[in-house]
Parts: sequence; C-alpha cells; structure tokens
Amino acid sequence: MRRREGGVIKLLFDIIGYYFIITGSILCLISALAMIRFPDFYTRLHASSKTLTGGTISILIGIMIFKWELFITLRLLLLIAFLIITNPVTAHAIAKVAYGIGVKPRNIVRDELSEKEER
Amino acid sequence: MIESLIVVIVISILITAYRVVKGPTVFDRIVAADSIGIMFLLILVLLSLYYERYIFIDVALVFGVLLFIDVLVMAKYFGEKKGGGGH
Repeated sequence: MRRREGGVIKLLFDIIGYYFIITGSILCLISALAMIRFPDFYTRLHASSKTLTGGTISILIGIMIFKWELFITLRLLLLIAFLIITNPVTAHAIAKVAYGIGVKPRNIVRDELSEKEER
Repeated sequence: MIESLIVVIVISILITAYRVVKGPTVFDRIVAADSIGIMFLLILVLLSLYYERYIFIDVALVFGVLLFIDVLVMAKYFGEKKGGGGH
C-alpha cells in the first residue's frame, strides 16, 4: 500500500480504487436486499446472478487498481475470469432444474417452454 | 475504510441468511447459499488487503472452484430426486 512514492499518481489510484470498491459493496448490499424483497424464485435468481457478479467484479477491479503489483493483478484477473465463466453456468443449471421439477413463476402470463415441449 | 466495507458485506451476508432459513423451495436455499459463498470470497480478498497477506487470494481461488462444483452437484441431485427419468 505504501510502496509507490509518487504523490499525485498514488492519490489518483487510491481514489479510483476506493470508487470501485465502494460501488461493489453497495451492489452486494442491493443484492442482499433483493434476496429478501423479491417475490419469486426466478427474480431472486436474477438478482443473485447479475447484481452479485457485478459487485464482485467491481470489488476485484478496485483492489487490482488499489494494489498495483504484478502477481496480485494476475491472480485477481484469474479470479475475475473464473467468476465470469462459472456464475452464469450455475444460474442456468439451477433455473433449468427448478423449471423441470415444477417451480412456476408467479403471475405468469404465457408459458412458452411448456408449449414447446408439448409439440 | 476497508473495515467498514467488510462490515457492509457481513451485513449483506446476515440479510441473505434469512432467505437460507426461510426459503419456500429448496432452490431458494441453494441460490442464497451460493450468494453467501461469493460474499465470503469477497471478504477473503478484502482481508488479504487489510492484513497485507496475499495467501488469502489463493484461498479465495480454491474456494471459488469448490463453490462452483458444490452448486452444480446440488442442482443435479435435487433435479433427479423427483423426476425419475433414469431407471
């Protein structure tokens, strides 16, 4: 944290890093509020998938800018790539399994997936 | 500064744990547990910044891999339980 000596550049990097970290923690709090406020399983899955992925990537980018060292940046890039790949995969798998077992969305107007399976 | 952000994420974990306890279906509980795992991963990375000890980022990588396998195995198990497709 104290390895860079340049005054203005260090201050600028700190401000950008804190901006990303604060944005990410606010997105995490919004995701947690959405988990108790949303009425349905699929809307909760939506909040948990999108908002939490965005908050996680924002916090990791903030730490990457805050600590500007090579190996920490490489590890955090690996973590970001892994989260981008795996988080939509788990959301898709859980949504497909939940639809197959019979969890219906609330206030559904038209169920196009069941019409496609009947055909 | 980092401490207050860790406190914000811990509050998020406590709010999400309500959905783990009181979920209508089992998939709500799986999704909420997945969210708690990702927030715990964030706490590990922030603690590595707070303590200046960067082995925690490697722990976070392994934790992410375990979380992915965990959720996929739970989804496959609870999907096969009621369908009865495979004889």
